[in-house]
Amino acid sequence: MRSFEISDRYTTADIGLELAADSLEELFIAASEGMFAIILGGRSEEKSTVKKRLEFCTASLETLLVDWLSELIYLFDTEGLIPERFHLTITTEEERPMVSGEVDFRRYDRERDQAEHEIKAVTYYKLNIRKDDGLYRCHVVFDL
Amino acid sequence: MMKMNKIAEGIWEIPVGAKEGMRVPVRVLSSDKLIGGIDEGVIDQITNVACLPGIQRYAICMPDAHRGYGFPIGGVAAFDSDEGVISPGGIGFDINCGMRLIRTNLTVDDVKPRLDYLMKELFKAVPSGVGTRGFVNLDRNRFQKVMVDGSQWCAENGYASEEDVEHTESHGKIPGADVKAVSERAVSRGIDQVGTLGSGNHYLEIEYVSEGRLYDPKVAEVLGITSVGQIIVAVHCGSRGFGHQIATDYLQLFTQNAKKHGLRFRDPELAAAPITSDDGEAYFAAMACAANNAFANRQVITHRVRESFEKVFGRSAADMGMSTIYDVAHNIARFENYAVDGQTKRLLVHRKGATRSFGPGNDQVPAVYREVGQPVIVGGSMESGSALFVGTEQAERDYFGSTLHGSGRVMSRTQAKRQVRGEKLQKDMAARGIMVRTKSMSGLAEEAGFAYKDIDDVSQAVNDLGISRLVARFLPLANIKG
Repeated sequence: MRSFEISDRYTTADIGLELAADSLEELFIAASEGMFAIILGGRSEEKSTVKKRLEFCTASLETLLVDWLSELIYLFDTEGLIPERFHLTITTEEERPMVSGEVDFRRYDRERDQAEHEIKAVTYYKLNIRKDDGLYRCHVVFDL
Repeated sequence: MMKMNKIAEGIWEIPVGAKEGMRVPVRVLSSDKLIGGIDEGVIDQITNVACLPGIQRYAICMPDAHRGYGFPIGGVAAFDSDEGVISPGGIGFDINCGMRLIRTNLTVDDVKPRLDYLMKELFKAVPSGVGTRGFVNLDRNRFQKVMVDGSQWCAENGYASEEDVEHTESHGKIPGADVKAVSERAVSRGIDQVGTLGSGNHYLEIEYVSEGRLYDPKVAEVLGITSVGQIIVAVHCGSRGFGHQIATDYLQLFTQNAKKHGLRFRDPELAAAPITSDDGEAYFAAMACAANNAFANRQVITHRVRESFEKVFGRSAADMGMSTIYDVAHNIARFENYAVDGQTKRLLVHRKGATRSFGPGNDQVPAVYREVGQPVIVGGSMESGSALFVGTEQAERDYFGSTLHGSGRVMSRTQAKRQVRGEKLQKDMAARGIMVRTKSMSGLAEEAGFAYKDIDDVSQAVNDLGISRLVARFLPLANIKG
């Protein structure tokens, strides 16, 4: 189970996401899907053409999420890649949490995709991943 | 909300002790009309800034302030260059986001009959929106020259006149840029974006000098503004993905190395490093690269604007008097000297959503403007146009040579979209004589004029405070929204 809701609760000039999921992997996927819903104004299921293996290890889950989403922005900005399907594993047993896995991407098409927002950066603004009533929750704010 | 004490007309203070760890007081510059609308988040952020090591005199909030990340937008703070810190959160993700004004000798009557054609040409010549690429073909070596030389690279490559360079803050080249401090990721994000507007609140606008709003005709004349109805072009954009990546890279590095530097932050977005540390020096060098890239970006856009006007009006840009009035950064950190406690100190002034405001006689002001002060360009919403000020000695003496940068947002993007649809706004603006072109109708609705503070209110506030002097107001005729 995962969900995202686009929200402006925490910021006047920018946009954020309210996220909930039953696992950390699903939370990261919800954040990725929500971020591209902000960029593209909606989601469309398209055929994936590029597969990439991604792996990050950082000091905290929050940093891990920021780094993960920042990587997706980088890939979109430089290669026009839009993530479609995720096969992720997140480990938290070690001192430093880690996300690894494969992502299937499709290419951005300027005519069809009609992008709405350019995200400058993922912020740490009041970012706090917590577990309430069996669900992982957090919000994440983007600088537009 | 933390208690603010009004200490003089237009000035509110939050004393040391209002929040644990504050090293200096906070000064909020505003007006009786605007002060009630100040966001609690802004006060929380600016009091966090007042806790940073090496901060001098006070942390300052401008009348257009709104919530940012780390610093509020409209935040100014100066740090001792030996004992202070440098923070990406005090500069912003869009390093050297700034404003440029280009004057012409054309009038509204000259432009209106060909406005539609002009806008089509500008829309083609200056790419806007998400994922656009600029027309300047740069390899890595040439891009590195852009990072180091900024507008001066443009002059060497036929995109700038000597006067353009002279009329840009620091001649469009911030000293200290070092390409070794820039990541490969930043290079790959920025290499093909020189000459692009970007999206969000960035724009290219055709404006005119408004009737009854030429407040100081003598100063205006020095700046090349001579009559009501004169056409002016305004450009608002920054360092694009290049600057965003540099800010992201160093925020990450400063967070990782906080312990090494013996620093703890109240807010992760306020991550900082000592100015004199290797990390601090590297960030300044990378920030300067991004700032120079942004100067070059606005300069290349100026070149494309001139070409479009030449095509549409069949006259040379020189014949149409198309020269840069000024180009000024509003997201930047600069080393500048100020008197603190009777001693001249070298400080690193962080201006995030704030503009340098140097007064008459300052040798950093272009020679032709030196008798009146440095031009300060303030962007409003796409419905309200821009305001042109000059800097003052008072700003230098009291507020580290700083003033406001824009109107400041008061309504979220979602709220704005709930109130108006992009298509309707475009029609309404057309009925009021403002033509708008955009790639995103929903993005247009988000930038509606009612989402911002009234530019005349914030202009009045800084004029009354004496930290910049209002010269003229320009109204929009046509706008390309990024």
